[in-house]
Amino acid sequence: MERAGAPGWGVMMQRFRDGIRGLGLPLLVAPLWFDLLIEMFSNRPSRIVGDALGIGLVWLAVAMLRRGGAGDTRRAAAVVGLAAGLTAGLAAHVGWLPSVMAGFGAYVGMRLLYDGSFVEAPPPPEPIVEAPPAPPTPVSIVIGEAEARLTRLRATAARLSAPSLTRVADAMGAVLDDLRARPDRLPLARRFLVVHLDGVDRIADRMVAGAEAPETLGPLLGELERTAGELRSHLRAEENAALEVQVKVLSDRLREEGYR
Amino acid sequence: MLAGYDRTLLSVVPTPIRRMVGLWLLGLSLGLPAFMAVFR
Repeated sequence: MERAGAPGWGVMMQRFRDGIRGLGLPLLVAPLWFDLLIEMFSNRPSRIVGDALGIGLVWLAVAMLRRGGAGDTRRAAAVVGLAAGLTAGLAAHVGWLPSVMAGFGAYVGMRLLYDGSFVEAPPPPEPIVEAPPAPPTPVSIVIGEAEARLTRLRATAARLSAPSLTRVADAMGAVLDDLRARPDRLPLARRFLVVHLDGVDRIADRMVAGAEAPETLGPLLGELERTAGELRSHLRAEENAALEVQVKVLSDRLREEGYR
Repeated sequence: MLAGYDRTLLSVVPTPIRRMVGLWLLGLSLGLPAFMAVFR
């Protein structure tokens, strides 16, 4: 009985054939090595070139066949055809017509022998070397820092008795409450936490240091309060969309399984 | 196995025969000239 997972005879045969694919071709031109030696001693350069090209092109075709990419069988057949033509013409000196016939014959022979004998695979994609991702800041640290800033901001607002600052701090506190409930939404609000909260914090510091609030500060704080509200509604809209998708998926599933 | 031949008339020829003809043709067109080169 065949063990589960062990490759069958067909698979092993195919693997064996893939392993020796094309290696018979150099055997066919093996006499050229011998002839190469003879021609070197007889000093006939055109025949030496013919021998070398015959041997080299056949090995090139073997490399193509064994690479096994898309279109490689066809290319290897053309290269062997060329090798056969050059071998017949230059090394064997049989005249141009028999040489052309040999080239064509070798091409057709290669196509008959190797076409469809294996599945041509596309070349494997270049491995993509990715830079290791920067270690993400833990969500709790980001939220904790923002909370500490907000507490300080609230205290400052109370000390300065600035109701607009208190309102901004409250609005931002509400955003933080939302984020604490759903920390996975943090990327959506990270810019808000970094830029806006930091900006308000610096403004409060300057005011504590005795700076006079410019006229534009009031509208700016109003704008920040409004932005915080918008961000909350944006976060809520994301939640709603996710919920809608969940509801749709579940109801589709029920319908598919015939419960509805 | 026959993927490369499905669209051609050769698909009616059994694979082993096709391979044998291919080998024979290759021997005649590549092997024979290489052999002849030694003796000419």
